[in-house]
Amino acid sequence: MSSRLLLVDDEDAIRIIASISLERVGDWKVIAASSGQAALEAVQDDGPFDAVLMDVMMPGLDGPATLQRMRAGLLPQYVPVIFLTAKIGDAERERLISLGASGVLAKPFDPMTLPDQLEQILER
Amino acid sequence: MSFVDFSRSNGRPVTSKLISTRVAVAVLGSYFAIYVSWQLFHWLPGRQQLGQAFLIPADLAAFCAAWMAAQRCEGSPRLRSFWRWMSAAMAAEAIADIFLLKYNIQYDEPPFPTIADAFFLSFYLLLFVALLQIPVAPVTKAKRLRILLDGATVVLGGGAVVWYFVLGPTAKAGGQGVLATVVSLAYPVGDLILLAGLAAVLLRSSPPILRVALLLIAGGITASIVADVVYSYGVLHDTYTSGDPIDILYVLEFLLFTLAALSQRPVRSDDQILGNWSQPTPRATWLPYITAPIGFGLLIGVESRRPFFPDLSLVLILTMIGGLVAIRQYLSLRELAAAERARRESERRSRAIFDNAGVGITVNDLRGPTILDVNQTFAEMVGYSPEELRGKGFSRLTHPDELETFRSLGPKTIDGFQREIRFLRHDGSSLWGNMTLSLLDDEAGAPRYVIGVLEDVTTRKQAEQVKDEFISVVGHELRTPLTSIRGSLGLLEGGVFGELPGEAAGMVELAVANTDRLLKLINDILDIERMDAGRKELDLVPAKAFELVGNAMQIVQMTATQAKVTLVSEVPNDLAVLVDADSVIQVLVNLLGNAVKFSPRWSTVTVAGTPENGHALFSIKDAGRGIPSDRLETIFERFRQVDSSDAREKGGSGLGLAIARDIVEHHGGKIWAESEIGRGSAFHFTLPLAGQAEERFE
Repeated sequence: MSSRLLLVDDEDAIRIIASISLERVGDWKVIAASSGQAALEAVQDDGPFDAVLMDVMMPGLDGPATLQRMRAGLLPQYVPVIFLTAKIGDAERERLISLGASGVLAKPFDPMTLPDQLEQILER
Repeated sequence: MSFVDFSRSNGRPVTSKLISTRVAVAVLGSYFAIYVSWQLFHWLPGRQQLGQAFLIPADLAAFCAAWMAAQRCEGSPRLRSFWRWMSAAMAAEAIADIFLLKYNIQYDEPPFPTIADAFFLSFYLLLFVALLQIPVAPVTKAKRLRILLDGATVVLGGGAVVWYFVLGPTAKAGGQGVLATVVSLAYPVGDLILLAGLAAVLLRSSPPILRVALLLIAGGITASIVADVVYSYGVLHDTYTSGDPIDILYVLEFLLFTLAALSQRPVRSDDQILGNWSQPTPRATWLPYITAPIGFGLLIGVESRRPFFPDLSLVLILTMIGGLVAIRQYLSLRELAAAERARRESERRSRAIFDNAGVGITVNDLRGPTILDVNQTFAEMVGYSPEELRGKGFSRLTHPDELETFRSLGPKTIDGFQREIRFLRHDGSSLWGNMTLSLLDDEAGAPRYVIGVLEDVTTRKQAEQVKDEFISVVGHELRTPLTSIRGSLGLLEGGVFGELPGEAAGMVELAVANTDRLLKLINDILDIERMDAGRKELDLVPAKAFELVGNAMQIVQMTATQAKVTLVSEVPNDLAVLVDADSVIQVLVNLLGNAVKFSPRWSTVTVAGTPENGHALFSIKDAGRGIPSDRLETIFERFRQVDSSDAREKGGSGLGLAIARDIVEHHGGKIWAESEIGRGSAFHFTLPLAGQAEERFE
């Protein structure tokens, strides 16, 4: 049975492309949320999830703020949260990891290799 | 210790190797002491002969010292000439004293005048000529007139005394033969000539190298004049014989001349004394104020004891001195007034510059910190009137966010301080100003005032902020749809929705390649903009060079494999650099990417790294088509590719090398290229080495 992944991004197009990539190139069952708030609801209503892949910059609740709420009891500690961000660089990567992220993936991503990259982070 | 210790040249004392000062002073001092004790106790008989004999060694010592001084000034014709004339004068005196000794031994009552007097008188002339050889600083016309007046005052002051006590009475007394009278008169006249010569030197500036010698010579001449006046007075009243205590002054005179000559340091050239007028000895402008009152005082003191019958010639001389002093005073006052006018004029000009300057200027008291003065521009910038700020504390203008900046400013850090900082305007708004500070010393040379020059850069700062935001937004807004386009194309190309027919696959491949190129261009533009604005902060940590190169190679490996190009690293394991790792990898990726792009199939690209001159030198070599020599510089400029078709064919943004240069220069390094057409290119850059301590950072 495929693992379940919560995908959070405010951009419709990204949600569609990433879902197709992860479900068809990879072997994930993707549940998509279009905002931080929607993600929190999904964690409560559609769980449990094996991983969360989340955009950093979103209107309203942004990625780090959503992560904070999730970690405050909604999402079990062992579920990895991976960020998707356009800002690359060691400093940003370290900041996000210090907030409790398991890894960071760069935007724009190649949909043909995205599942592999995700797998690599989860194996660590 | 040696003489030269009190006349240093550029702080470096030059020792006279001929004779040490201690020995010279000890020998001359002992001789003088023995002589004075003999004068007091007459422990050997023969006052007239022995008294005369005592003078001769002093003359000879002065002669030898002056002769040797002339030898030491071989390189300077002016000084050599001075000391040669000096030694001639000393020789004349010695010969005269030897003749006089002969007469003193021969006769109880030596004849007068004799051949000795001829030599004595030539001493004055020779010494006068010597004084005229001393190089003096050039003077302006106005100064020359005042120096002339001062000199006349000095000579007349001495002249009054000499006339009153010696010349007048001698001329009136008669009784002697004409020759004897003339010779008697010649001595005091000789003294006046020496006084004139001395004034001519002291009233002007002479080279610092002669300062000590001149002081000693002036002392000697003063002793000579006093002794001569007393001597002539004694001769006139028939009380002088050789061995008189007044001879002490003669011995002293020649011992002082000896010391003066010994103090002369070796001089290599005229330039050494003439070339350096920046700090010549100060002129003895006080001289007339000493000699004239002494003359006045002496005459009035003596004259007032007599019944009131003023000597007409004396009244004449005193009136002349008074007249000279008055003219001199008038000239001084006129010059002072002119200087004051010039100062006011200069002040007015400075004030106009201050008031009308396009930049804000503020003058502050370092001890305050109180605002002493601000110009109109400064006041307008901060929204006050100049009157509202003068005398007030500077803190009212200090922006709360800049408190630390101001606190960190001390006397040592103020001078040369330049930064863009915020100020608080009267209405509470912020002013961005480019502030340049400098320190101004007070009269005593202690730092006292802070001059601040302020340029309003608020508009530019705001524009920069708008531009930054704009670029950031545009970057994000461009990237978001591109991410979707690239993603969709990627899925199509990857065959997720089924294999595409041949032509369609080609089109999608083309679209993917160009989307990648566009993304790279946007990233590069954002990068270079960040670097320009100085917002790209380097996170410097020690890193192993071969690991950085390894990381970069990994990134380029796929492209290299596709292009059938081999990547080889020749970076030693122990080379460590202090760098921002991400940025340096970016440089290496850019350079390696270029090398691969322009390399023929089956060729090799090598990366080498070596420590060189305190830096790490990296070199990336390819066997590509090469770069024309006139492009080796310009390829590091933005959007400058060797061939404008490269951008299309090779898919570069045209910013890769510009970014590489920015990053390397941010690290304090250099980047350059070498190439041979048809043979290949080599790109070199330097980076700081990690320190010794950090080399073993594992």
